[in-house]
Amino acid sequence: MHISEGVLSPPVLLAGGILTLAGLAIGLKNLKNKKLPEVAVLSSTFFVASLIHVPIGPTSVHLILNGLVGLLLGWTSFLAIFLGLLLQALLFQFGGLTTLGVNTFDMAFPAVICWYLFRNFVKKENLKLSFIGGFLAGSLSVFLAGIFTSLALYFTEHNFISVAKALLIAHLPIAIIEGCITAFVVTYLLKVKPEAIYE
Amino acid sequence: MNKRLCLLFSLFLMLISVKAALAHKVSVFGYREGNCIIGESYFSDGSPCKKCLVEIYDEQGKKIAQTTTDEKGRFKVLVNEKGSVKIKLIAGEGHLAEYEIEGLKEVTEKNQTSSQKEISKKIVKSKNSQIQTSISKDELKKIVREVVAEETEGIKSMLMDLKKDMSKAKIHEIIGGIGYIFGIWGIIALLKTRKRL
Repeated sequence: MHISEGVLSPPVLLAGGILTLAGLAIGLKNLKNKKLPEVAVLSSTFFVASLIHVPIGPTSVHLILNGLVGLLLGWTSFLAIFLGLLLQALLFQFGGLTTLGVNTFDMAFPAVICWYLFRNFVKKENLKLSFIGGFLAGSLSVFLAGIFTSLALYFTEHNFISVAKALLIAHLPIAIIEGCITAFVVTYLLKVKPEAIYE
Repeated sequence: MNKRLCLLFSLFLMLISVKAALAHKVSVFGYREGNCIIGESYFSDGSPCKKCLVEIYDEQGKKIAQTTTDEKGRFKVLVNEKGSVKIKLIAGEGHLAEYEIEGLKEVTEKNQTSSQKEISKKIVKSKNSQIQTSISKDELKKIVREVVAEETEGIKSMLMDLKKDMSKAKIHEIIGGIGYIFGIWGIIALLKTRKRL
């Protein structure tokens, strides 16, 4: 879901840039020293996840893992996702430098929304509830990313419903896979390193 | 049991969901052959862009031709423009790729041909003048073009494969990227702890 350069109009790019800057500022403010290694690991997880394609039939979608990043980092996920996308743009020409703002917001804001929605859910003593919370966070963040991406594209393609539909259908398998991954990671972390979730 | 069910369900859904390719980067590559432009488009994992819109623009940015790619991501379009042209591939959902083909260098070509013509004239005059009269210049050009096209077919497909390989992510780039991320966070950690002291 990386939007290429030259697709969006300047106002959309600018709006995305400003929103991302705001997100980055909040992220920096909330950044705790203790969390730094975790942020670094999750930045690289996000960076690598986009290279994992799920090739089924003619489909070629890749993992995003923004739900996992969001659930573990909260507002700091803006920093992690921004850095991951920046390096993807520089090294692999995914997306682009001008669309970096929009792309970051499209991926990081759903992560933050899912963090607000499911952080308490996951922290429950019940492992089954945490599993469900993780699954929902993982899949919902992918769907929300699809919706935000189609919103950004709406201003140039003027066809919100069809673009959103195409993106959501294509990302359905990814949403389920990411839901499972996030759920397993969350339950695993609760068992071995609960402070990663609780802090 | 729960996990297994989950996996099975996700596999099932992956199999039934069939939709146009949605990778993160799309590339297009083309070349001129006679007055046609032939090209190929593909996503970063090497899979072709099927049924995508291709637009050809001239130097002034005016659209001069339009076509769609076939099942293998290839396209061929008739263009009479001699100057440089820009190929624009619109893969939808925010994916766009551009490629520029340089214009035909008419002046240098003419110089070359005129000098070559003189040489060939001399040769022809000295050997047999029948060939020059029986084959016109245009016909000769056509024949040469056909032969060259056949001969270079292999090289062209090799170039395409090379281009495709180049757009794939390399393992050293991935590892390098991870290194960058840890380096940047290391610097941030350093700055933060220094501030506190």
